[in-house]
Amino acid sequence: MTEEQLIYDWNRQSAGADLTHSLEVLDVTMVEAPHSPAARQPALSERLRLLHQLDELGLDLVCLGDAGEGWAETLPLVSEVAESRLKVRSAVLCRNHAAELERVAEASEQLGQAIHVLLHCGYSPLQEWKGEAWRAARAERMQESVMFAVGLGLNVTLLCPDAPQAHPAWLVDTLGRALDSGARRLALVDTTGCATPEGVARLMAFVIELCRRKGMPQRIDWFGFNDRGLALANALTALESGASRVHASVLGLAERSGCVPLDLLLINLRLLGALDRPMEALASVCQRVAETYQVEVLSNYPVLGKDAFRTGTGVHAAAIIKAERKGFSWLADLIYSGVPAGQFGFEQLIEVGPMAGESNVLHWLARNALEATPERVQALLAAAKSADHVLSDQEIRAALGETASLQV
Amino acid sequence: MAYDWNLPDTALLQLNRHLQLQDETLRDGLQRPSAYDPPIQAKLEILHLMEALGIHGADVGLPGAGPRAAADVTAIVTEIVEQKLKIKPSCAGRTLKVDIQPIVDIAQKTGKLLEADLFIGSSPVRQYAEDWTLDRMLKVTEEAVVYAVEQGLEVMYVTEDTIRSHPETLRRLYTTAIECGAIRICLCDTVGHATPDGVRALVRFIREVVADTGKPVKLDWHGHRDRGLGLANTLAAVEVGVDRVHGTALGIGERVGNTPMEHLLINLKLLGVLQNDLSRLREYVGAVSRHCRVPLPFSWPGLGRDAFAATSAESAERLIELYELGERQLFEHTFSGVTPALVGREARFAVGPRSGPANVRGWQLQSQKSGEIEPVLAAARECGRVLEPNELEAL
Repeated sequence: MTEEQLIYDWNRQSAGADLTHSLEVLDVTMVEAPHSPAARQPALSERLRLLHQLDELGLDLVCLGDAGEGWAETLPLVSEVAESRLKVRSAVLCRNHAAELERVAEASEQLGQAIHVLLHCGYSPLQEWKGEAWRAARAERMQESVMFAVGLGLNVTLLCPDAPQAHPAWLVDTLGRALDSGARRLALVDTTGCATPEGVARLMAFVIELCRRKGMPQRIDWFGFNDRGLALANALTALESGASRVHASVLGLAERSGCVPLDLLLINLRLLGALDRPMEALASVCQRVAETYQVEVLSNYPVLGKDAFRTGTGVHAAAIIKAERKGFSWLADLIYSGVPAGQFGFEQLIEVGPMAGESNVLHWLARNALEATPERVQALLAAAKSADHVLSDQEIRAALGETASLQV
Repeated sequence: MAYDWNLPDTALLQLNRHLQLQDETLRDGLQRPSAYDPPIQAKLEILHLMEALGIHGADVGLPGAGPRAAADVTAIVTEIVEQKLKIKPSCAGRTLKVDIQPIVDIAQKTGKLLEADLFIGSSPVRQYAEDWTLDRMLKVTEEAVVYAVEQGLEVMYVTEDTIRSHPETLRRLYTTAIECGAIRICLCDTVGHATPDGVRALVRFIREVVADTGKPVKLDWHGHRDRGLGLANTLAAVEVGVDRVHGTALGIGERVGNTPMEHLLINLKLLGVLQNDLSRLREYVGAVSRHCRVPLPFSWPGLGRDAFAATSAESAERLIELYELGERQLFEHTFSGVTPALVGREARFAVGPRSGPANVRGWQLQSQKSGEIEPVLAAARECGRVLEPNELEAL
């Protein structure tokens, strides 16, 4: 019996998803996580250690900081990538300032390694209230910056803020200028987290057509925030709609409600068959990020949270146990889980709580090498049914300990 | 104002009908391993907040789970009757008489027409593990639905793990349940496996199955968030025409939980599908957080502490002018895709190590303070994290 025989996958019955093109992931944890109000600022040594761990994930690029006021913090990380010969490539945020671009070009030359420039556009469609003259001046400056950077031999991606709120004419003008000036890639940014998947698909189609009309290769990045709770779905939609690179932060750490969570993006791409990278390091990297920025991995965080593979429900526990008895570990891992725990270094846990059945109790006793006498089963079930939460091992032992004949 | 690539959402605007919401907080929600089952008074408080938000139905428990569950369900249904609440109660149970009878008893005791949400595992993986044949499942379905209908219950027939079930199995199960009197069927992503494309494919197929029966049967969607796609999946189900969607406060539920009801409400309102008053949304989420002892994450969209905090210099710089000009609508719109006023909140400037002068200036304006800016920024850099309001005031 195989997994394919036992799972009819409706996800694969639609012609909608196309993730067969090559795709890249750009990690922005080190630039976005510090904006999370819950995060603290790590020391350079901690960020260096984190950089090495991120490298283990097989990411394509990592944004290491900015080339402005933060350059002193960015440069050691860029140097580390080159000197330690990490597999991941460096990217740096730049504004429309010649000095910043020159710094990056100089560092790139000295280190003998390309550094990708993520260039802030410098104006947004939400700033139209500032007037046409202001916008035109900003647009001209952006164009000059792109040309200057390209002249320095830099690989430029233009970050286009508030793209899901940009009028088509604004996009044609702004993105057109960037492409005409030599930008290699366009990054559409959902700065306020306002987009829906349908909106993303429409926007992507429009920008792809724009690239086609200009005779330019379609190299589009997506980066979005999570204000509506849709950042992950939007990122997947962008990839399905033709984006070839997504920016994401571990645990979605970023300002307000965060941004595309890198970990869940990788997990979903793996489950969709679009990525074939090992994921064993993912949990430890996420834990490292949580420690580095002193944030908590919430118990209900998909896959990585404490509750992700726990159940105290009788029906679920019974099915998992029956699956285990069939002799296929993958079966027990899949029967009540959309994400196979084993693929990501976890296991299914059966616990005992108010919704538990006899199966939960039998499983707990077996796991703790205790004979499942009728008295023990009855005592544990009674304790569970009268509890208002899933019992800890200590509470279960205490419940058994109340009766001398049941003591553990 | 801005151009909105999200709208018009053709699929949603074509829906010429009234979408309903089903709250699963008091049943599936309490199956979250870290959640506490709150006392009955707390459950009643949560129930009234569901009513205030205009939520149409609530699964109020699985009375077959034991005497405590049955007592709580009875008390909740009694409250609905006595307080003449509009919210429609339903109870969960397996497709077994032993689970249906307690629902019948509560209906008789309270005199309230109850919906029985009767579930059965339908996926091949479950069939294999349980050694179930399709004939056995059909027999169980028939017996359970007929019995429940005969006892005066409205039946919603629920197939667990529908998203991984074979189409012909689903056709036969649903057709049987509908022929036996089920008036509603529920497609479940019990294990959080679905993607939006999968949801669309499944719902479209099942709509054909229902149409073939010729009966006016309603369609529900119930999803989990194991892959982080619970909300997007539920919105996809709405887009392809389900009649009712399920959610729970704070997304609490089995494993990492269900579609968060508050995010569903916010998104449906932003999409123009619902017009519910969301002013008590914080109260609803707060009550569930407090009573079920589940923390509200700081970054939780729309409702978390940090959801409307501008900490970075870049954000504050693009916002401060609008704030100073008194352009509140544009200010909020530039701040977040969810306007804070929608959920009764205000956007705020915060000061942390990555902040700039505009953050301090914004905080000063909002809190009607004045003073030098650089010492505040220096303190934030020194502190290494976002300063608390009392720390800012002390500075």
